[in-house]
Amino acid sequence: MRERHERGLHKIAVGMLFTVGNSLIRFPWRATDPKVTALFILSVAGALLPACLLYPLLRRLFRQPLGRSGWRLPVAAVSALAVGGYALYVGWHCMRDYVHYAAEMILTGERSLLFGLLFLLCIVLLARLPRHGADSFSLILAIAALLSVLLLFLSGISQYRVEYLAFRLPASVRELANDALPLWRETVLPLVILSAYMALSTPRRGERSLIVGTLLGYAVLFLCVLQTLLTFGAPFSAGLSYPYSQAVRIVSFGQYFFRPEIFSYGLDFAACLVRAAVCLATVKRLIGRFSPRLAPYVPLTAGAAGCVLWVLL
Amino acid sequence: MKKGIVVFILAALMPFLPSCGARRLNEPEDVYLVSALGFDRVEGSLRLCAEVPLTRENEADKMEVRCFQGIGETPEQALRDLRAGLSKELIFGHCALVVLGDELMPQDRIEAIDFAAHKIKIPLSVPVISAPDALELLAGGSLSAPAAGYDIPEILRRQSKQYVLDLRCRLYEVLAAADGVQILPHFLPTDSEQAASDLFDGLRRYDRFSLVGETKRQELIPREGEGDGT
Repeated sequence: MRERHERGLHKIAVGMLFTVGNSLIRFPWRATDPKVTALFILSVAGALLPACLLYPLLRRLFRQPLGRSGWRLPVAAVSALAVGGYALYVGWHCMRDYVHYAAEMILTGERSLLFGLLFLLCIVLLARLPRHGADSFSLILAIAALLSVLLLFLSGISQYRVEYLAFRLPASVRELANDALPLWRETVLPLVILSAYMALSTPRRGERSLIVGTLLGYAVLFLCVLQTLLTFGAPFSAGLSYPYSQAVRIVSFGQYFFRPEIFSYGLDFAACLVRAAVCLATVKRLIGRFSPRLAPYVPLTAGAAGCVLWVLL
Repeated sequence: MKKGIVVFILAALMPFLPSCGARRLNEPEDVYLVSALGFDRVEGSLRLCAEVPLTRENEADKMEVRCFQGIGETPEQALRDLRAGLSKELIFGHCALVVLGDELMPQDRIEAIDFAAHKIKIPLSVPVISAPDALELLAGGSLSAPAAGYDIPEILRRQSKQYVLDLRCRLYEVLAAADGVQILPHFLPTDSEQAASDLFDGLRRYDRFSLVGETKRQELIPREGEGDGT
């Protein structure tokens, strides 16, 4: 019982960090007017769709060993191809976002080639770790991330301007779709991978971990967005490349300890690392359903291919 | 499994190792660390000046301050002009003050702070002040320290304890209020008659960066329990 409870907490941590992922780096989505709040609420509503709809389907599809005949094998193969391909795309995108962000904000002036390769190495190692190792690591990171976000939010209170917060609904459905669809594509659609990962790694009662983890991830994002909006306001935030990091950068603890943005770098690092590693682990598990002998080689192969691509591109 | 976790943690730390070193081998003596930036309009052109405290090895207590200047039609051109005469690279990450000269047009002010925040990326929390002549203010230094860039923010902090000041003059606050009202502290150069006793002259109110009002220091309301103090 205790073991199951602990695993639940670990999966919640994975869900939380995956949800934050690389979404945080560019939040709040270049929105230039007060409807950013309405868009955020919409994205939370959309975020639960993969958990509620896709997780049961994928669990049903992959729970039992695939037979040699019947309808499940072709359906599973097509699903695995689609989800696996998308997972590789999301993982690559996440890594690229983080490395560019790090090269611009942390290691200014450094070439991103070496940093990208080191980050890729971390992803491969985390994806190769046995399940319990990766989960434990995620739990530690998630606790640290929660604490640092809370600390930064509280320490920024003196800078906040409540008048920057405004709520406006989009004027029409078309306007709503114009804003919401790119947002869902960037932040909500990747959660499909999380549902697939949970379906493959938590064959029973994974819904709770998935939903709680996603909501916790959005709670973290909400605090970060709120801090950014209260500090800068929506129009000015939209003009910044990395709004949350910039908002945190102006926080100071007293007169001598300032620029605590290292905490936000850590949060971004943890979230992007876990998202990319979960993407790779999903591909590994999907291949494992069809050919268990090939699965252990997936992270290394994908890592080597990623290295070549990174150097070439 | 434990071995795997240890290897992973070591690998996870590696990406941060390069952040501990001096990047591109830039020692403080090999660069100019800008402490303040000033913008003026002079004879139809924009003048950008950068206040740079010069540090020398083994003489940390003897700080010398220089103001470099460049002229151009835009802030970018002025910066190129300024850089053309320098043998070392300018680093803006330590900039602590932006000064807008009184002769600037409203559009110049917008361009200047936008340039400072988004092009050369100085810290967004630095205060923006106005002065009759930015170069004169920075070249004259401060009454209590050679680098006005580091001293004026401290003067502002003390003044806001002494007077009821609703200051919204940090770079990001000024940018966020670009379409509304900006209230900037006004400072005088040290060699002016009034500034011999007081550098802080009062507040200036701008509407979309056009001057609309002024409150002299003598008209400001002291905080309870605080006298004039000067």
